[in-house]
Amino acid sequence: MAGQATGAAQTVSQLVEIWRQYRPATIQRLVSIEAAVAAIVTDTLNDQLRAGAHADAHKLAGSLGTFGLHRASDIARVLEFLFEVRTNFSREETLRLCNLTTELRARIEQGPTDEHTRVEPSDVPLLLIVDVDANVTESLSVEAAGQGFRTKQAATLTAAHATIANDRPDLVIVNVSSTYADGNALEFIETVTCRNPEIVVVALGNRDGFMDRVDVARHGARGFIAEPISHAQAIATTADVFRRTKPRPTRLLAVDDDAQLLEAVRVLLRPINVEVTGLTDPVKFWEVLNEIRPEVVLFDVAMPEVNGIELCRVVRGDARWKHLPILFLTEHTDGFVVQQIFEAGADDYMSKPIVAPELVTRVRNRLERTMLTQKMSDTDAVTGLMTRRKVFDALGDAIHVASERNDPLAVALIRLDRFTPMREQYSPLQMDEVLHTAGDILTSFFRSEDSVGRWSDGEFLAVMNGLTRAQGVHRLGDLLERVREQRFSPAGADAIGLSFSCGVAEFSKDGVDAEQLYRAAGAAMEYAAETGGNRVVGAGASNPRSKREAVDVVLVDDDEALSKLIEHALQTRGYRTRWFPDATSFLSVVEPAEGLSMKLLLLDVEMPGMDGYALLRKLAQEEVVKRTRVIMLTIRSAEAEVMKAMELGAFDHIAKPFSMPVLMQRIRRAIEA
Amino acid sequence: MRKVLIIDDEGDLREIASMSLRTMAGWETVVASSGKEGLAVAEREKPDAILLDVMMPEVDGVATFHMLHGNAITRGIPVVLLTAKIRAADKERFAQLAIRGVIEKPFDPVTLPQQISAVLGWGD
Repeated sequence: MAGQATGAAQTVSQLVEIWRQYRPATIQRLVSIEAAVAAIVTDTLNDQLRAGAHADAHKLAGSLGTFGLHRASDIARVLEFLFEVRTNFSREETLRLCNLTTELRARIEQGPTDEHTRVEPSDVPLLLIVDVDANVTESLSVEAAGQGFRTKQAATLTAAHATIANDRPDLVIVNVSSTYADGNALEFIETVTCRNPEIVVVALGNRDGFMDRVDVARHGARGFIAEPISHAQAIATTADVFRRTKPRPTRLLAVDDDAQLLEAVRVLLRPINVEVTGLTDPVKFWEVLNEIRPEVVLFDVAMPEVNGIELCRVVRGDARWKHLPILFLTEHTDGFVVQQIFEAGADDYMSKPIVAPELVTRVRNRLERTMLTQKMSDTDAVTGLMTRRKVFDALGDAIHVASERNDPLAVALIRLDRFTPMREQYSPLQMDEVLHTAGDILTSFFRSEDSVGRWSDGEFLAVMNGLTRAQGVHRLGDLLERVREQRFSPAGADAIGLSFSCGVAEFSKDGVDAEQLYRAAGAAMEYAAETGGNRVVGAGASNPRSKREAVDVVLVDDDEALSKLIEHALQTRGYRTRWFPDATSFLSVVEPAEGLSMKLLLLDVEMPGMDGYALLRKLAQEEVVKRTRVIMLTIRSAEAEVMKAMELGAFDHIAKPFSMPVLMQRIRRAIEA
Repeated sequence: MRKVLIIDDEGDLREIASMSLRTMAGWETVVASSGKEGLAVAEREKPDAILLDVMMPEVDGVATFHMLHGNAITRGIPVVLLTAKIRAADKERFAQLAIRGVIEKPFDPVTLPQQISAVLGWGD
């Protein structure tokens, strides 16, 4: 291996030599790209310039990486994509082109560094597009390149798995409406998100199709993009989902009269998600500090007019900023200056010239300490969930995003049933254990882009992006079932079961700000608790003051045990239900001038006396099926039976034995349709 | 000793590939800056393999491959394509040709010989 190492060292040094020799040619290609970008800005781009820039970007994409300039290579590839097909660029795209070109020049001028053979993970995110239709993947790729992504494509799930293993994409778009020869798209999403929780998976599909947001979210996708949608919009939405899952960059304000040094700091810190604002004029420090509100500052010691040590003293003397972490860069490493730096209240210092790994480590250390304190104050100590303040802020942010994108948003307020008697029965420490377990269940249940926090003693608030009220009610129904299955065993006490009452409100139907939404969810939660608890209720369903008895679902089935099970599952999801064991008892309530109104009828086929078909036929004659959707519960899913039910006017049918979640989904769809 | 012909219109990449194969693997290299020149060099030098850039002016990589394949002297020499971009349409074209393998640009000069060996099944 020694020979290999020597060979590598030789290769590297020869590479630097070749770079020197070909640098002018490389710069020439860069100039051609810059000319095209300039032409875009002045709206004078012609086809010759565009084609030239395209060819030059292609060449740079293929060569810069070989010199170890991987980031530059990626930028060139993005530019190549843009110049290949586009003639029109939006303002935002033009701005991005300018920034990319500026960075490309900086990278090329910097040239290969000695670390060049180490393949750095690029900070241009890699997007994998999975669809059987090559035209779609190609078109999405072009859009994605325009919005700053690198892309890979896969037409089969097997190929997609291979790309994920080899290239570790940052995010994946899967068309879930496509039929893949080698597997199921939802299972694919589940496998990917289980194995690689850091990869963001977004599903693209038809809203009216079999799959919807809830199904897709259950399988681990972070977002659902409903077709029809333009490819540009699909990529913009994906980028948005991706950005939301990314932690917000940390803001660092660097003050140094050397602009080049500031640029170096900016480039070096970007991989650790630090956004650097450089300031060369220390006189403007106070103004910029209050404008960008950084989380850490970096001062040069020696600057004209005001020096860094003076600035540091001023910061430490101000009540708002005295805890701000402060780092110093200094040419002087003599004891006196270092002593002055620390006396002024600095947290750390580094000597110039900057050594890349040192800068990254020192800044990271400083931030980790700050973030730890921050995280502690944002996290409820008992449950591990967000604090009330934090989840309320998160709700505000989510409302902002939802209103911009015209997306729904569901807010759930959850109260543990029997909380006060529990308080009396258990010691505070035992209560903490119960709440801790509840916190664990909530944490594992919600998706990472949802927010869930402890609202008060036994109450929790959950914010679910992209869900409607009905979808939220269903999702919380799932949670309620999970909570009921769990045994809580505080030390020294018998294991107990828990349940909760929950109200769900939707932005913007039930409220347009955080306050209104949580009040609407709260009113529904109170109603759920008053009507016996252990259920989830949507906002607005709480006041059935009509004289006529109104229910959501009526069930006619002679199997009492099964009926009770179905009723329970429905009530968990906030539906009002009635059960009748046979057609006669049902008709006696429905027939006298509509004594009972219902949205949905679940009708068993095989019953003693009048069977399901006969009853359906009678209801069809009386035009009840026009006002009420009917789902037939059949024994076999034989085609003849299905056809018969449909001809008589049934909305849907489901064959026994069925799984309860599937039945719940069908019912929700029938009621919402 | 292995001898590899590198056909690429870009001087820097030609030199790096050549330097890499010589320094890292101790192979002999010959170079050409166009398809036409490549065919002549291949006829004369009879290399063990040809590393061929896809995107070149005038005669591009695929056309060059057809020339090499149509020539009695050079047709048996395995060809590895060097390309900066593999699109779905290209893949189909490549699959129809008797190309031995594709190496993506930018390549890593330290591991380029290993990549070529792997593609060609050379056991050294």
